[in-house]
Amino acid sequence: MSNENLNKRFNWGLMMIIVTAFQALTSTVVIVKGEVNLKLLAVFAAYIAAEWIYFFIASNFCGQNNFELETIGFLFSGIGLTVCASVYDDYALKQAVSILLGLFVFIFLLLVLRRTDIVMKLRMPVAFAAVGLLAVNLLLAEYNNGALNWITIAGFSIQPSELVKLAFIFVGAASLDKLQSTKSLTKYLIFCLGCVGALFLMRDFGTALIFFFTFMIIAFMRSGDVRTIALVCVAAALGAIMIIYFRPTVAARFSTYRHIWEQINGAGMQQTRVLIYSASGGLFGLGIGNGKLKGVYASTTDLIFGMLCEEWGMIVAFLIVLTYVFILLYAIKVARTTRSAFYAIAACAAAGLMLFQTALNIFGVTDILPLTGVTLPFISRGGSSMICSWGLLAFIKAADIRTYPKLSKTILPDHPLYPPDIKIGKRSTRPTRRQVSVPRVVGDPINQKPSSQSTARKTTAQTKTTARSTAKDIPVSRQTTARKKTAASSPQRTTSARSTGTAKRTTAAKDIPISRKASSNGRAKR
Amino acid sequence: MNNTTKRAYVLYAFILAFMVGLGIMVWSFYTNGGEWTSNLVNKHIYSNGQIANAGAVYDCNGIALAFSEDGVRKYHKSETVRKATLHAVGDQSSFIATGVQSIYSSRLSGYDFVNGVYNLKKYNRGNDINLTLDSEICKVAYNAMNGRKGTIGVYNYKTGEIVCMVSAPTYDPINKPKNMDGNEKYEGVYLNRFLSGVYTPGSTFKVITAICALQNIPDIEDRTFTCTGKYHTDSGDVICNSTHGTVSFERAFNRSCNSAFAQLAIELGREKLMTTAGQLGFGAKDYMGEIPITKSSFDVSNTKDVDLGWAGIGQYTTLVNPCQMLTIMGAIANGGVAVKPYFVKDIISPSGEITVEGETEQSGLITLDKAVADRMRELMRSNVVNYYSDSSFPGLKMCGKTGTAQIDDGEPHSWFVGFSIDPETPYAVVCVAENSGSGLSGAGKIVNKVMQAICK
Repeated sequence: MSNENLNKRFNWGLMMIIVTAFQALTSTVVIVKGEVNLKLLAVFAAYIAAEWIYFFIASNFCGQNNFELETIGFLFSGIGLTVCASVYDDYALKQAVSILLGLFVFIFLLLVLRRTDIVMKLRMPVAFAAVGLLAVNLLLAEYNNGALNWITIAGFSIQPSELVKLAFIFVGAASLDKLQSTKSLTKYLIFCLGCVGALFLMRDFGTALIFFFTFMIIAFMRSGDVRTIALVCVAAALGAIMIIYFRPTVAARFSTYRHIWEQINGAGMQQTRVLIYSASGGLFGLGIGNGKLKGVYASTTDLIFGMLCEEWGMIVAFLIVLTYVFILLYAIKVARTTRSAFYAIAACAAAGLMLFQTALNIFGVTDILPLTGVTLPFISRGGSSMICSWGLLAFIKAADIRTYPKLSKTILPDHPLYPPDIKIGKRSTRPTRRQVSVPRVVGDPINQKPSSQSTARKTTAQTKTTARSTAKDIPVSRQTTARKKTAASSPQRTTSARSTGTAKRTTAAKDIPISRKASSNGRAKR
Repeated sequence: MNNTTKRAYVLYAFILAFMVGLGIMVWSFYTNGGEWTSNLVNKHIYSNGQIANAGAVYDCNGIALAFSEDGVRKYHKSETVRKATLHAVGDQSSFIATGVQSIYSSRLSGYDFVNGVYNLKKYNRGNDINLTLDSEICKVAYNAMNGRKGTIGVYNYKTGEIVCMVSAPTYDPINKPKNMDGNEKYEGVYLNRFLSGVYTPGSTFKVITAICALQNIPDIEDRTFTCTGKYHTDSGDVICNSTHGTVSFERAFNRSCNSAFAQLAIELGREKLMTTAGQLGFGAKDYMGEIPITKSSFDVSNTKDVDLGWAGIGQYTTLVNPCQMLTIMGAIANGGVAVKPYFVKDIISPSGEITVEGETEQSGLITLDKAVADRMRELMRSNVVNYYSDSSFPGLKMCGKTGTAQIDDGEPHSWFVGFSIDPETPYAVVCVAENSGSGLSGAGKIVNKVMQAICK
């Protein structure tokens, strides 16, 4: 029925061909600079092959029929790879390996995120691992451009804070319902403080800011409490003022802000060069490899936006940046119909983080904001950053209900995108207390109306006996009205669900219980 | 869950903020791009801090004064021409801030918002700039200055084209002297004295006082003044250069009688003098194209009478910019219509597109009555005929006023301002020769040499 409307067939094969053509064209410019560079040819060929392998397997064996995010990821990774290759051959190989690693992380995360029960189990270990990683980072760290955020293991330098970004969202979104209890709130706050504090000690203020921003998104989406958020903001601002007051060296780091032209060959060197060369590039760019910004320190990492403006043109650079806005809009949209609050929060936090990081990067290098030295997702050179970018993409894709089609289809025939029957959290083993408590539907106005509630009810008794066998067909309301004992048989329920579903596109409850309690306080329930 | 996703809408606020940031970025690129790209560190245009690739600068006869060849900036082959046109053309490292190579560097590099410096890379040259200057006249003027500091500017008061603009001291841009810093000989060498210098006007300011008198005293032509070698006020004496006895207004102007003009200034009063000065462009910021012109200043509010008297004859704190004075001359010569001087004619892109930069344009800052202007022209003609003598300017029909500006230390600055009333050669001229004594013997001789070269 609405299946066809919702999954309008888009020819993703054609899309992949266009992407490949674009990448072939741009990489040719780099490969045949002077004489044909076979090494680069191999790197690009391998990269394009990897894209097609992913596409082939995902579309033919995993039932994937939407590739919006992957297309963006492939396209941007390819642009970053081409920029790296245009500067230095050896960058390209490392970058291509990073993209592949990122793709593996993407697939791995998608597999994990499919199972919310596993997510819940992994929550604490991941939190401890993240804090532990940052602690190790602090111990082993070496100074690199004023920040301590790098560790070198067996010749590879990695930036643990990039990986912790993924853990931060993972843990933050997964402890959704737990926030209601003071204990779990405290735990999560401690986790956040640990992360942000460690980053401050590393003097990686940019990443600390990103973490803080992400925390704000997660905390607000979970609680909706404007006062608490305002309080946290005020506290953070006060903390920042205190730091600047007592540690003038910190403030000195930002003294260049808005004074870059006075220190044109000193602290303002990077920003002034970005502005000069970006403007030199004009709207259409000077051509790949024809820029002068590449000679400036960190040109392929922090300053890559300037390189894009100069060589690829401002139009391309701004399209790329606007795409991050699109990704966030996409995340907000898929969050409305996703299976549970976990996915919604994770997607919005991941996309918000990505856009915020983009903002810090591009506004930092152009002196609209202070320079904090964060990377541009997907484009900047660097393995950790690339892995993080793909990981963030996995959070967004997991929220898209089309990502797990088999789960969706089998559960509710009358709704093509209906969620799977994953139950999370310990359930009471005692039959009498056994309740299937399902969070309320996302974007389901019907369910809020008292009049329609009666049709969307499910008794405990019936669930007890039929849950295992019929749960796949029967959506259950989060408003566990077991105590009310309203009798509504499952066939009736299904029928009514069909009728309302036809009218309003969505049916009744379709969320997954994450907490073992139903809705134990008034806030979750309306 | 409903709430959760509803709350996602706060992210729209963030997106909005992001878009605002992007808007600011685009706007700053749009407005500042030219300035940014013409920065010395831009390796597309400069190498080692010197212009390497840029368009050429031509004089009015199409002679290249500066151009790029194989990534090297080159100049006219004659050293004298290079020195004479240095302040107009500018150097390759932007020390001379008002030079074309500094002010128009983004045009020379061919920068525009849409293409960036792509055209420069593609054609290996940027836009060319045509000046109205005549390098040969500038050469004559530079030689006539004969090592003295100062400036000379000549412009066509009908069209506004500056044909000669020389500022000294100067130097050779391809062979820059090393010992310029702190060297008295090169004092203010980077300054184009014509556009950016201000001088005590001396007696040339009597032109302004006379204009004020013509505007405000109806029977001025019938008045007589008595000069006893000084003019006495309660607060002190204004000393005259000579004892002129009883003189008419015209004769007082001819002889540049300080007593008469100090008396006139005090009679006219502070308000009227300042009004006239304001109408002639004093105290107003002006631009020649994109080049800022230092403003002249005349402020006699809260002065004692004796200072007002001194101000009326061009001493006291009054400072005049030579270009400003030249425009006033143009206004007098042209029947009250002040045409703005310019020296950047047009810009030609590599593809042949012509952007007109300088056009005949009336100055909005100078207003002068035609009747007053015509009478002033007669008075200034009378100066030459009756006092300086036409033999000082053989073959020319010059009008003028000399000035000998007393300065705190050293010889006075020598001024000559004037114009030719020959309709064939409608040129106005201003010349300041520093520390060169009296007006006619210093600046007057330089002006004669330059005007002879122009009018031959």
